[in-house]
Amino acid sequence: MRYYSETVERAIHELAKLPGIGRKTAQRHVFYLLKTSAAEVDSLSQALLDLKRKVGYCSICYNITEQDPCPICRSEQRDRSTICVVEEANDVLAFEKIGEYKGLYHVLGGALSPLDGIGPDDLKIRELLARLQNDVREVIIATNPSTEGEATLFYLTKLIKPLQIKLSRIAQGIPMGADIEHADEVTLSRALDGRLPL
Amino acid sequence: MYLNSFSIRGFRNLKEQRWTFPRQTHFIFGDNAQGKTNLLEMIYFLCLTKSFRTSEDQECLSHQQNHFLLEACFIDESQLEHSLQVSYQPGAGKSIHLDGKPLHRSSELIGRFPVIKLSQEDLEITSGPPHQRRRFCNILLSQVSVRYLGLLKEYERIVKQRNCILKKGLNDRSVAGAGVEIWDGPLMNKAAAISDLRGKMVDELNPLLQEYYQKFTGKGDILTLEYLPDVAARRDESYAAAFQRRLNHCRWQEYQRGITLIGPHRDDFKFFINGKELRLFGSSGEHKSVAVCLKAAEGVLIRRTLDRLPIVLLDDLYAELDWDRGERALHLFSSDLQCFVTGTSFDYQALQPLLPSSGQVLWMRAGALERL
Repeated sequence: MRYYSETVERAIHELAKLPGIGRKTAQRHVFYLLKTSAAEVDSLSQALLDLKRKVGYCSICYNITEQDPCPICRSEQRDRSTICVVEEANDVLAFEKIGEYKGLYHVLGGALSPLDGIGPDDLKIRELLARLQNDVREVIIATNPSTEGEATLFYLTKLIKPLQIKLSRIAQGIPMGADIEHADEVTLSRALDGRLPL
Repeated sequence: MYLNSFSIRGFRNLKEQRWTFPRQTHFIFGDNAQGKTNLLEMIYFLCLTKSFRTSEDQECLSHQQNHFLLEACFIDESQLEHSLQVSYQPGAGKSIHLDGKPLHRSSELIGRFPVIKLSQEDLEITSGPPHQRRRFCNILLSQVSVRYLGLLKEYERIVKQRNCILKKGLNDRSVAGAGVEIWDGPLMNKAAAISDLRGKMVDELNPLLQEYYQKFTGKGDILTLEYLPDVAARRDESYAAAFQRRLNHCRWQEYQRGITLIGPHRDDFKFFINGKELRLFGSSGEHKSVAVCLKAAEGVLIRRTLDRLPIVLLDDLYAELDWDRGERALHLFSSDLQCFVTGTSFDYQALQPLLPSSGQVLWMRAGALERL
């Protein structure tokens, strides 16, 4: 159903464009916003505006950042000889949460997928290779365990292997805290394939 | 595993009905177009949540009905009951409930209620084009190996991605094949694993096929199955090397045609009776006989790997077979399996004295099962 207020209609329309939000959810959000104080709505819209004005990409690792280079690339505490390659900026966040990895990152901006029109030139691969010229001793590839992530891994391996840099991929298999009996069969058979000698 | 009871609503021409079956062989006879095959299709649908006659669920919907609902109770080897409900509504799609809980993917059900069916379409396995034989192999391996199903899905996705690049080259010659070699490695990896599993399956099937064919025909004829992988390694050559050799050889052709020309999606299998290729020299009776043996061997493989007893559906079993073979066909399937066998009313008259006393004879009339 359409609302007689054009402004309300437009707000619903815009919100419903977001991933995971349908028209109904958008309606609920809009009515919630109508009831909230003007200050709060201002603060929300300011935050949204700032997103595009202030946030950009780091010119070294292509992570999202407000200062270029990003805090991780600038940090003196990080080990500059190790680079962890991930698909999206979200993945950097996930690694940073564990707080154990002290190296640098490189965000590819996706994975190879011709069906979605993504080829090697659409990812930050050339930029990665350029970085490897400067005293990098180890590259860890952490692409997703999907068909596309695996193909990207394969491609990167082919490019990096000849450079005589230590190259590894993150392990695949059963998540910690999960029971083996609850793991799905594909994960379990992959875990078995990637078993480690003791 | 056996089917203890079912109820149907809105499926093909079948009347709304509820039946309970003991675990034995059930013979369903009836005139043409009464719904015998529909009944087997319904049982198959319950086990695998899809039809063996069509890929469109909508076609299974009865005329003037807006949904169909199948409910069944299976009893497993530990005598535990499992309730299964499959419903379909155009627009809303299929929904599956196992033991009262919704299943999100129908693939979760594959292998849980193993089923073997023999129908007219299966004669194509030995007489039809190669994709029929690959289909048989894929269905069998998917039921017995979760790993295979996963591999196959990933492989098909890689082929799709790769074809996308090759197709782009057809429209714009200047970019022909740019970046296609990125997908060669992943393609080869999955191809090697699939080819390996297919080869093992054929090795396991062969002794069974030989034994069953001789039992079935009562003669010393030797039935063999040969796997003809699209990529075969030469002596002292690794699979990877063979794959690369073939890729290099076909590279130009792939650019010309815009599709992936190498890999398990182009595998074939050949059947031989006493060294003569069945597809070229077999009579229709021989094709049917091989199909029956193949299904019996499939039953053993499923049993071995899953440790579960499959349900056996034999549609129009007696067509193309002489009475003698028709009667012997059932002996190939182990007596502890639950079998559903259909035949025409003509078959019934001829077979009546031969039917085993342990079986139940039912009649299908205008979509309703009746006791004789």
